[in-house]
Amino acid sequence: MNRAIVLCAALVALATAPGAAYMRFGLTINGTNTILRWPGAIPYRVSDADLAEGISANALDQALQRAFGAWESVASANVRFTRQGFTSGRPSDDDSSNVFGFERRADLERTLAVTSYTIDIINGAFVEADVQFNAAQPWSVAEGGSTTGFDLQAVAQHEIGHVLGLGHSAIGETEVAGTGRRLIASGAVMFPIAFPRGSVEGRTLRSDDIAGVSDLYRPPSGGPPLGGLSGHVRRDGHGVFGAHVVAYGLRGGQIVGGFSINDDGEYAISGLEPGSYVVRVEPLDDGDVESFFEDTRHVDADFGVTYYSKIAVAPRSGVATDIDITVRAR
Amino acid sequence: MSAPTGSAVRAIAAGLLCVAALALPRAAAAQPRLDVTVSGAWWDGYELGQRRASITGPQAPTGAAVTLFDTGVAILPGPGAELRLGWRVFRGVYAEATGGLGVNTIEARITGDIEQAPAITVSSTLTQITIEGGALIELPPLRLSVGNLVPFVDGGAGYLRQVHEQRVLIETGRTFYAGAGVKWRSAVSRPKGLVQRLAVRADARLVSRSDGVDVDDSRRNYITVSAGVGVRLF
Repeated sequence: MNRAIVLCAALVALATAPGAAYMRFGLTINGTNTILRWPGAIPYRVSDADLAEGISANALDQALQRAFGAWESVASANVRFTRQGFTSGRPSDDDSSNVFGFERRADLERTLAVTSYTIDIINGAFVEADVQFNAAQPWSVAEGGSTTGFDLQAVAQHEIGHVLGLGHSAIGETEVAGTGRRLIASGAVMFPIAFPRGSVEGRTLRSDDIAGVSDLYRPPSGGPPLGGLSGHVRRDGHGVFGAHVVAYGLRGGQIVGGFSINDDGEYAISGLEPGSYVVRVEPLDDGDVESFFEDTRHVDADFGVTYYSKIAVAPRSGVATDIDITVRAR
Repeated sequence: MSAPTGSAVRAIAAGLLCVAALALPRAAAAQPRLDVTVSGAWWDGYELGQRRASITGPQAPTGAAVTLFDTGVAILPGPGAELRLGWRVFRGVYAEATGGLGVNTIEARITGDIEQAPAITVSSTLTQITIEGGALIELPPLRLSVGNLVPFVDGGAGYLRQVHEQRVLIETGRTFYAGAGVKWRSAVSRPKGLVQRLAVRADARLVSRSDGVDVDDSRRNYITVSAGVGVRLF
């Protein structure tokens, strides 16, 4: 079997296509974009090896179950996980099973967790997805959070989003602090910069996360109606690559993002409840560009925040087109 | 307008419908009469309210809201047209069906962007269609030197269909209305010829709307005024 390992740390969107809200993982197989998606219930095991200080195997298991439950509870998506018990294996083992557990990665001083995949590059199917929580970081499983450690459930929810095939969301605000970034605010579990120690906000899936998983895993019955918006971001007559496009629902207050993903400035935001939206475009400057795109050379982040000149309307099904926005240099 | 006003609209509309219902069994006693009126209209606008696009700050254990931008949303006034069919079911009491078409604008004013983007107003066209049924009760006429001026009150309920630009999405809602107006018509009791069958009519209605385009589940009230020409078919 031919295999390729895609590390979440690289967070590459190898294949993105119009119709992708937020970033999704994919592969180009024989010239065809294949979006990575599990076909049924996702089995997983909990590693009881190399546990972090103060975290028992049972505490890890329970935090994971709560995190899986959050994704399973999305009514507009058909996501199921199957717990297969504990294993003494490590997440980094190439064992064709999905393992969640701790590994000490002192070399990754700013990384809380990493999701890695093994993918069959012949058919684009997941073979294995593992999540390593960095045991070199301080962790907490306290119900109300603890300033002594990062909330394990919240970080698990983020990584499970990757396991499902979601990339990073850019709905958040940061500022540069030293050699890193300080979080000002986050609007999605899939935002690449975690809430600080003591916060439990990362346990709550936001509209962007829900739109993402709903678009990837539609229920067999179809679920509630969901539409989308698409168009182009242009500057000086040329497409803008890497612009962050956000749709804000006037009725529900949903905030769902997408990116312009090619040199034509083409973007699409899917998984939207039907209704009226304000569309806002901003440069990708609230996270490391590498967190979103593999090829960062063409990402244009030198323009000012711009709103679409009309109210955009998402239909009950399908995608409203020609939501085109022209931005200007800062 | 406040919610109690909307309740009053529904109460008046319901009362008038009851009057019409009571009159129906006696319809046979009334001389059949069908009035058709075509009117130009003005559908007033109304505020849908303020909303704040916000995300979550880093405070522990739960974060404070951080505003990305604010929006103020409104339906702007617009022109319309209305077609009314009034069937006399009893002396001075009509069962009336109204079809309305209004062209309004939905507008969002965006301010306070977190990255200092200039304030902007964005909008789109909203075509509104109403199909309503109700009762109209004529009050004692004022006799003029030329014709009669007949004041009336009316009320009813209906279906609202709101069509977004390019028919991308259709949203539906319900309406209740209560109103008043006047008809001017010839004093001839048995009109002959088109001119004697003509009437001029002016209406003002307070409409209470639920569902449809909105930022929340609130009931909204607005006014429509119309004026037009009618003809008594028989």
